[in-house]
Amino acid sequence: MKQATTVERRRNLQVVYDFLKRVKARTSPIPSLEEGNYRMREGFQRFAVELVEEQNPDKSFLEVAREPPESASFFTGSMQRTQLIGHIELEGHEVPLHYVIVSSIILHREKRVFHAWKSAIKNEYILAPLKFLPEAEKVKAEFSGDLPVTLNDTGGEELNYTQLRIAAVNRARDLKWETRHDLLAMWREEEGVDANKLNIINDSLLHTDNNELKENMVGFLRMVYVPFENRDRLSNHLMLDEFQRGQLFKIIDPEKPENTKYSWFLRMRQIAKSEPEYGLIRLEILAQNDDEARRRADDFSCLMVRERFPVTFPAPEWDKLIFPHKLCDQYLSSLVPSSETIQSYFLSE
Amino acid sequence: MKDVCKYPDYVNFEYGPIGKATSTKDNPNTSAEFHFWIADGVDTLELGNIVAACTADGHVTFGTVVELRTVMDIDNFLSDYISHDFGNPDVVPPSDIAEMMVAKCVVIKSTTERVRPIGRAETYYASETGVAWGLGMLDFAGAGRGVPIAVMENGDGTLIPIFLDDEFLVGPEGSHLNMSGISGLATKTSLVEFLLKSILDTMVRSERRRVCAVFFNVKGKDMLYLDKPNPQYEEDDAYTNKCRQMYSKLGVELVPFENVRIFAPYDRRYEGHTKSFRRDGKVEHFIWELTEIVEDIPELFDKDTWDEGVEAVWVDIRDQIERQPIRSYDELLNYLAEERRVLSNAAISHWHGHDKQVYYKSAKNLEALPGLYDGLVCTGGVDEVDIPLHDLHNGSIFVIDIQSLNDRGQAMVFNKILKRVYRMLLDKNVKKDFDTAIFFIDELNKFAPRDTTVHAPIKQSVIEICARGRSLGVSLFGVEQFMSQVDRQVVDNSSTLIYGRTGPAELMTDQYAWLDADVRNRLTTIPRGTFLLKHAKFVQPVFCKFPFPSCVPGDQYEEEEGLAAKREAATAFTFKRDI
Repeated sequence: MKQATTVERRRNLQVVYDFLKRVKARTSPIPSLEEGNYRMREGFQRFAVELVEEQNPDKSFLEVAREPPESASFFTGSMQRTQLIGHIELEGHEVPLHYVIVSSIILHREKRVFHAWKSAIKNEYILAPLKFLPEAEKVKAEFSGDLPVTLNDTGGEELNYTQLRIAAVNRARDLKWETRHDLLAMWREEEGVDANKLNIINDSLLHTDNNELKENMVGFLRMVYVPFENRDRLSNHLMLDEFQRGQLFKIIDPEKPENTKYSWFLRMRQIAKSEPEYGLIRLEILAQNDDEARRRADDFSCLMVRERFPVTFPAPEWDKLIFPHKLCDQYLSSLVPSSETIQSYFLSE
Repeated sequence: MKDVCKYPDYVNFEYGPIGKATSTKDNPNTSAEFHFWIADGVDTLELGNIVAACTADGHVTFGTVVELRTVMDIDNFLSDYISHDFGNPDVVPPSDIAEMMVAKCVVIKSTTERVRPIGRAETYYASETGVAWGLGMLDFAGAGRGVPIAVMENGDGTLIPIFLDDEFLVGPEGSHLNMSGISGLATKTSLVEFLLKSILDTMVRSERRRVCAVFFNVKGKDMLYLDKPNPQYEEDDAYTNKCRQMYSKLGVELVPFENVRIFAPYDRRYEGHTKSFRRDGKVEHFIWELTEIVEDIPELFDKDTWDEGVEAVWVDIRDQIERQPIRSYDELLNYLAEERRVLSNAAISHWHGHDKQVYYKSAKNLEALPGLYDGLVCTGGVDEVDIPLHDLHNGSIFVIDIQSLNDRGQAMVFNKILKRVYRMLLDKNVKKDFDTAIFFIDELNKFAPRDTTVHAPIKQSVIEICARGRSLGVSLFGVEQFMSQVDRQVVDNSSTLIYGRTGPAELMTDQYAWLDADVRNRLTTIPRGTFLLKHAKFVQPVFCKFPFPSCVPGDQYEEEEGLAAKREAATAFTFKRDI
């Protein structure tokens, strides 16, 4: 089995290596991931905020008055890993080439125990700015089809080295969303019909159209930076108490108002002398109307407060990372070679 | 995997995979060991099981599970404490922390000749054939040299017969067996009884060897009822039935021993004339005359009593014994009395150049000896009766009951019998109907102690037997509570080592350093009827189980009413010892 896995990995990396040779690039891998080097552009600027509630509800969601009908039994995690592996020289400029692995998994929780729902989806790509790649069309044709690693365009309009690296990270995010989308489409068909089975997705739903989502899908975001229009209308969510949820608001895409989502902040945990974003998450859902959204915001806040245990300490951002999503991350990490392995491969070739 | 495997008979594919081999930065697999995680729902695997790791190239690597660890997805205790709402055990978090069990195995053998660590491999229980091949039993058992000793119960419930190679059990390639373990669990004696039954059954049946056994009963009634059936087998409980199954699996007959003769020192007070707890007339007595014990007399006294002056006098007394000659102990006592009478003349200050007082001391010692070793030395007109070692024959067992003697007396009898049988085997001119003799002695640490400051008159004899006996057909089965207290040469020369339940302090000695920590820990708690076996032909030790012996354990046998009182009286002259 290991041999088979090793052969597969070698074969995949060999494809990447063949590509580098084909475009006369030099191998120059770095061990760090581009996601850690560059901040992804959120792409949230075009969204606008519309308040559903004027104030943050003044109640704690630790004690539940009633059991919500829904149960959080599915958890979706996705991963992207973008690694710089080589460069080509073009008109005196360095053009970066990347190796990208994206993957998604849904874990099913039954009686507190997890199993993978179906299997994870994993895709691998070579990212190159086709605009600046000699014989781009020909090369693209050669590195597509049945190959385990296919060529994809990094994007990027100008021959700016740093911008091209940022573009690679953003492109990888799009590819990750595509992978997640494929997996969620399957889940929606098979499991999503049961409205009481919630799927907590470890990412934003804003970039997915509502007709591709279901009301039992919940977006779970650890990043609470909100660069939306009208964001000044939100009360200060950084002041939320422990187990308190923030005011409910709608996030509207002016170009596609039918894709409106409801959202709110929730303080999962609080400790003395913590920084303002400690334990603070943002949730996104779909709802038919404001009343329904308000009810579900209450229910889901209760559910999420429960999910603060077991804690994921000492994982990064453990104050916001719920255990099932940590398992998703571990599952996906186990599917891919380490960045050191990839670096070693290209250094040795 | 079954389709890929080149040796499907070696693997229990029917049970299904029990895990998958894996390695990490901190726990890499090596050519000597590998790790595998245990599949969800497999709750039968335990320490000592033998597993088969099947690699994609079709080869199978066998390993013994020597360590089991559970791992939870928790980095530290604090995080779990917090997860229970800061220390509330009643809190049930919505997610169960992922938990897994990892097994560490030491490699026994691999079907590939290349010595290298295994990588990813599906892990199964080894089949009976696989275990036999992995431990190398197929070779010698196939050649008719296998002596069944016990069964190994693998995690899949299979009872796998474990054989010893007779060429390494009783020679000539290797020999001797050493067994240690705390007393009171009926493991050591019972196992020896079972093993002896197995040896005799196997070898007498195969006619490859002619084996006899000499057992020394050094305490209680341990070995006195080998010829009596074990009443345990009248029961119909689950464990007894399992024992029957073991007999069947191992091909050993569930009947008590035949051809057993028991000998004990002479007792002038009891009508049966034997100093033995067995009083049904089965025991024969023995008692030796001066000529038989004259060489051993100095060893029957401690250093303070038998000092250099006494030794010098003894040289002259021995000279007189040979010159006159003095043939019996009674004659010796008369001679000493006459010499003392002469010395009573105040004008005489020396005897044969020795100080008179030293002579007196020597004579007093020799006069006291029959009392000290009552029943061993002929006095008062009792005729000598020797143990008829020439009657030893193929399949026969002599039990020498020396529990009534003190340590020095026991040592003398043991050494004497051992040397005589040794000489019989050495002398090709002596007619005998056996070519292999097995000696069993409990509390071996008394006869061959590791501590060099302890007086051990026969230690060198025992070491010599252990070093050279295998080529002659003399095999020593020694038992003790603490292996660390037995001379290293005795242990190292034993091709078969058996460990019963052992105390933690003993396990900290270097004798056990080669065992994995978990295996050592398990030795502190293994139940009755279980032991750890290390045999010269096995790469790794094996945890085994053996059935109740076919004969009644001595300490469980009650003779008919009325004899209990006599037995109680007999304890009056029995030396106190740890039983």
